[in-house]
Amino acid sequence: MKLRYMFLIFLGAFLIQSTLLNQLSLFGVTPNLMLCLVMLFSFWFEGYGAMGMGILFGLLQDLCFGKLMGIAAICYFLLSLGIWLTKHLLYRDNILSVFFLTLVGTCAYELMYWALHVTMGGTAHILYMLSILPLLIIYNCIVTIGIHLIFGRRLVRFPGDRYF
Amino acid sequence: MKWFRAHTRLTAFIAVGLCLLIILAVSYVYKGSSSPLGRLINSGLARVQEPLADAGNGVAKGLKGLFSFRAVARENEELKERVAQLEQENIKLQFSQLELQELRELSDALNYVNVEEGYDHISADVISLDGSNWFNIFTINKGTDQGVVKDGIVVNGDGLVGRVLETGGNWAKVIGVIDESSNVSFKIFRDQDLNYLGVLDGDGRGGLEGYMLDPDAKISEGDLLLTSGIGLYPAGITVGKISEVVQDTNSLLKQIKIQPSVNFKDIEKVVVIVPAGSQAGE
Repeated sequence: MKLRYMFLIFLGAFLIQSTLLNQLSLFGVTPNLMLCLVMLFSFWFEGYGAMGMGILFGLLQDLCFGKLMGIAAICYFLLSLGIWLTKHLLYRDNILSVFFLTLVGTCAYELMYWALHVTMGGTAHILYMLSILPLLIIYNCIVTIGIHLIFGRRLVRFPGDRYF
Repeated sequence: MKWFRAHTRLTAFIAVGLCLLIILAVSYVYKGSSSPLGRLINSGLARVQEPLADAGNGVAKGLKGLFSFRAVARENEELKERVAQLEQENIKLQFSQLELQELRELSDALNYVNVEEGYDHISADVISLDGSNWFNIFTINKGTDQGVVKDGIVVNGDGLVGRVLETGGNWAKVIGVIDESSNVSFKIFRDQDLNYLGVLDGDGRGGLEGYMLDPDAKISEGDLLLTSGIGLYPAGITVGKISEVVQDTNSLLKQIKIQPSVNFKDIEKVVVIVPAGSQAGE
């Protein structure tokens, strides 16, 4: 995917995340659209586009809503790097792979975010973070699987997968 | 150098990671203050986010009205009764107002300076919310152009919301009081009286916790907490209610858990309280 299209998709997602998506929050939990896109785009596409977008929009997220700059950017960077290193182990066209990716990715992102936040003097309690995690995983899975079914299969072909 | 040339990809990843860590470290040192570029980006985003947030709120309210018609009708009846009660109270208050006016004239005559009159109020709409789920930082559509200043106190109809973390021309970043590690001084409002003094801060779990300065303070669950006026926050703002009282045998202090009066997941409109004279526009 061309970087400019990816940039526009991430920008749209960032604006939706901060404005409209909060209307869909359930028990105070909102799906993390930016995280879903970083995970999916790192998983679908070759190259470092998703990683770059993750860093850029992570910095933007920190600028607008964080007390410190860089926490979300580092988490997106490490997550994207992790997916880039391990994605050859998963069949990219399989819906279960997307589910597994979202489950592990969401847990990893939240844990990294919490660890960095606490290291930099934050007060958020780990039990509070963990209490939100199950609902967030379910919400993120719905979003990633939905995007994968609607757009993923039409946009990307995976000739490396065994049944091609 | 040979190693770097042989491992260009790894070197690039390490370089990016280091750059991000440096950004984090610099941001930690200059906490709460963006660069001019950061403020410019925030201003641009605020212009786009405001209409989007308005549209989202409008659609959500419309859908809510459609799907909860019975509840809205019931609420309407309850509100009518409440209006009737409030009208009665209003009449009583008008009499009290006359008395207050007389007392103010008397205080003016005695050159008494009232701290409460030293503030201006700026109403604002929330235009974007943090999507992290466990913080409560949001952006409002009023900034330095309208007189909002850093550390301005943010309240809504339910009580204390937080304070202004950072401002730009047409936006301000607000942090909820439950995310604060700094202390807020409060008084317990009980039986029409402000009895005991205490200190609270965020508990890191989306609530508040604190302790009473007087270990023998007679407090119980359900007691209302108001800001005491000591420190940053003006006196008389509702903070929340006591949800649990625990006697700490080690420190001999009475620890309390507090249920905030504000629902931090549903904030649309707020009022920023700023020191009088800092308001430029509006």
